[in-house]
Amino acid sequence: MNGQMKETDPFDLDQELKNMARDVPEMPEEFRAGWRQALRAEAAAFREDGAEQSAPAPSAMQTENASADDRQENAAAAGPEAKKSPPLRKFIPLVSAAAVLLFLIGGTLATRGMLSPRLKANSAVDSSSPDMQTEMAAEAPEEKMLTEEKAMRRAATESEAVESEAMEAAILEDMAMEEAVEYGYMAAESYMAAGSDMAAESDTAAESNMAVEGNMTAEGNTAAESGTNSRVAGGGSIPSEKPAPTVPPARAASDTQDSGGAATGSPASAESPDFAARLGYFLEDMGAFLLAALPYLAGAGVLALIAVLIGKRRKSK
Amino acid sequence: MRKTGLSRVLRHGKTEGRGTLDELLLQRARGGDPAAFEQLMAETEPLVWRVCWHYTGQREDASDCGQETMLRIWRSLSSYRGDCAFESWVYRLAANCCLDFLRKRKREKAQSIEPMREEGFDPPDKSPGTEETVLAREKQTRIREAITHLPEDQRDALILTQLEGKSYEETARMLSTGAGTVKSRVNRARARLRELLQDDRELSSPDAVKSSERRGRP
Repeated sequence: MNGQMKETDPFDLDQELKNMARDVPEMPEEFRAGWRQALRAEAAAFREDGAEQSAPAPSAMQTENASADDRQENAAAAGPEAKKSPPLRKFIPLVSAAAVLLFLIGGTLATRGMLSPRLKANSAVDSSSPDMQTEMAAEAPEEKMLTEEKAMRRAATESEAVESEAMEAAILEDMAMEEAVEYGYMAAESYMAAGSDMAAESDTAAESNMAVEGNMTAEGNTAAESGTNSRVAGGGSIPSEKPAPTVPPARAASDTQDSGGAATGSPASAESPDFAARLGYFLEDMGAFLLAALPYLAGAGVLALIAVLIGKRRKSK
Repeated sequence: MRKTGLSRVLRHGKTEGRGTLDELLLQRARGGDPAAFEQLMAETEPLVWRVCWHYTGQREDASDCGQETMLRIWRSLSSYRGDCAFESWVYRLAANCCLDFLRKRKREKAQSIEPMREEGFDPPDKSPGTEETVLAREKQTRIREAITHLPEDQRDALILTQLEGKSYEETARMLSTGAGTVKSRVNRARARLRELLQDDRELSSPDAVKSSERRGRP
């Protein structure tokens, strides 16, 4: 076929190509001198600019001064990776990850009221029924859970402070009572030892002593009472030689809760299951959101694919 | 196929010392040293000239185009990362620069001559020589014109093997492909070139003009 073409082809392509290869003239000296001169002039201009702007970084200056055509050229010559400038290329994965996270989290938060089956079910139930109320209390919306949890934490810290104060007060009162009792016994002993010799004298004294003793005992009792009361208020967890109050801990806890909030346990132990549950709910909502967004995502993907194909086709042309 | 070290990339088959020198020159040139750039381009400069000549076929145009290519290389030196041979990177820049140059010139020519032609002006060919040389030059111009219409991969393979006289292996190394691929690209380029020239001849022959005129009649 080639032979046939050669015969009929007045050009004789191969011969013409050989001639063309042979006829290349020597590189003229003006060409060499020309580009060198232009290069030096450009470099000098850049140096002057750099001295003025104090930014003579050559690679940056070359990139800045290259025209849009040049940049395209560079990209074509250096491959597809060079199409984006290096600083921008560095941030592309970070920005992409941030965009995906923003889409997922933002979309989930924005649509959870509409899409979440759990929240839909909650809103559908009759809130007047007491059974439903308890169920709703168990599966309350997240916002309510959050406020409750905050209130509980605040109450816990307050009750801890109260507990420690009450403990100190109780210890001090115990010591005072012991001293008072000791003093009362001693007074009684001395009174007994004084005996009848001083009976006449001590009538009034005994009365006063008794009065003192009685006062002190009474004071000790009140102190002890207040100590035990305060321990009860604090949860009654301090071991004591004194008879413990007969209030059961659960009851005490419920009482304190009723009276404005108290610790129902350690906050750290309550937090982790709560967090896991919340995370679970959130993931569930995210799943619902993704499911709802799937048709739109598929549409966008198809459009992007078409755009890429058109771009590739144009490039190949 | 891909070279790992910059020194190996810059010049094939050079010694380690020469490679290090090239690397240093490249760094200095990137740092804005024109003397280092001139030294670096000393070996690649003739390639730029020849490529520009193959595309334009005229001394002045080749010179202008080569100058533009050199400046473009200087400006975009920072984008060369050593992924391919320096020579092939330079070749690619030169080829693109030539195509841009030809497009630009065609536009300018059309803008400046077309209105005059419409008024009946026919510019004479100023190039000197006998009728034979004029005809030969015209043939070469038509081939050059047809070459610019080839797909990029075929054009590169044809220019490097047929006009630059490089072997298939050398060309394959420059284009980061296999020798077999280069061979098939050259064959396809030749076939396509013949088609283009045939179409061109048919279009420009008097019979073709007459037939097209007949077709245009109501």
